[in-house]
Amino acid sequence: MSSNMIMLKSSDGASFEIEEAAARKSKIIANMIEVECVDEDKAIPLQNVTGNILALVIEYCNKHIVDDDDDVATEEASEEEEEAKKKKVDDWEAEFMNSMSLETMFELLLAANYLNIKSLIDLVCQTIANNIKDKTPEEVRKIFSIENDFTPEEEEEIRKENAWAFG
Amino acid sequence: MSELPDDVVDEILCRVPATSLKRLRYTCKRWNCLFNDREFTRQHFHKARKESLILILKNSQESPFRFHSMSINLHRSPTVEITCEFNLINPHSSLDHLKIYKYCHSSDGLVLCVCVSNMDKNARLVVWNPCTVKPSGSNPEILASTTTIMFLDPTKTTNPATIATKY
Repeated sequence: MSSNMIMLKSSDGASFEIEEAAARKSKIIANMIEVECVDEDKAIPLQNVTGNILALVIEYCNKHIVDDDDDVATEEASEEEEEAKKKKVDDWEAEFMNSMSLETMFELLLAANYLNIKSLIDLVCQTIANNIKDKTPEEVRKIFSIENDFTPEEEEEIRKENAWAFG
Repeated sequence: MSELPDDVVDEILCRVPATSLKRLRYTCKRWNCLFNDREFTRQHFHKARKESLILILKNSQESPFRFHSMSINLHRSPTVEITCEFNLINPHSSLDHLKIYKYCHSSDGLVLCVCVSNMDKNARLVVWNPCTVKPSGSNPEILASTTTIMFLDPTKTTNPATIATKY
């Protein structure tokens, strides 16, 4: 495993040191490293990510780089071991997301999207999906800053159509 | 709250279970249209948690074979409630109610019904999606595939190919 360290700089000027292997979780940063855009002495500026969100992204990447290494080391692990390991990761992810407000989740999702970290996008999307599934359309409009663009008649029409099975 | 781009919102919505998403469809016009978006429904089929919808088929003299949806509440004193009734209506004529005589369901939650039309007494095969209520395939000779898809419980399966050859 490479132990090269690279520096990331958030939009509000905070600098973070991260192992190259962890930073490669981001396809954007991995590409920069491939084409040698990364100067060892200089931090990579991330214009769209604030320090507090970048800290979360780095926490996630650091955690998952360890998991990926485990995968290589124990390729022939038994099914139970695999399951136990998966459960450990799931528990960590649940704990990681549990402490977050919806607002932070949205910012983290934007950062994961910008940095192109697929597994983090999946995790945050699933957590937000679980969060909104029992909410009303009125509540969801507020969360997503969506304006109701239906006329009252159109809305009534869809509500009627919806009455079947879930009335 | 940060505003999320549409493609990121879709990533969230394709992880919301079908029954919840159906309730959230009148959040705005764009969300409502997702039900007719093939790429979205395909993503939803792969990513959202699968659910069960309990249907019973009731037969009485005046209305043979109508589907009812049932909700079962296991909290405190368990109750079983018949929540809604549905019968198939010929898409080409709202007066023509189809009588359902036989049905079977496929692995992706669609229901294949053998129906007899009130008007012309021809037998028809209709593929019905219990989640969106949309039937399709009014032509008696052709087994049409559905265009609107939100899939439900895949666990109890009968092979759709077997169903097709059975009739």
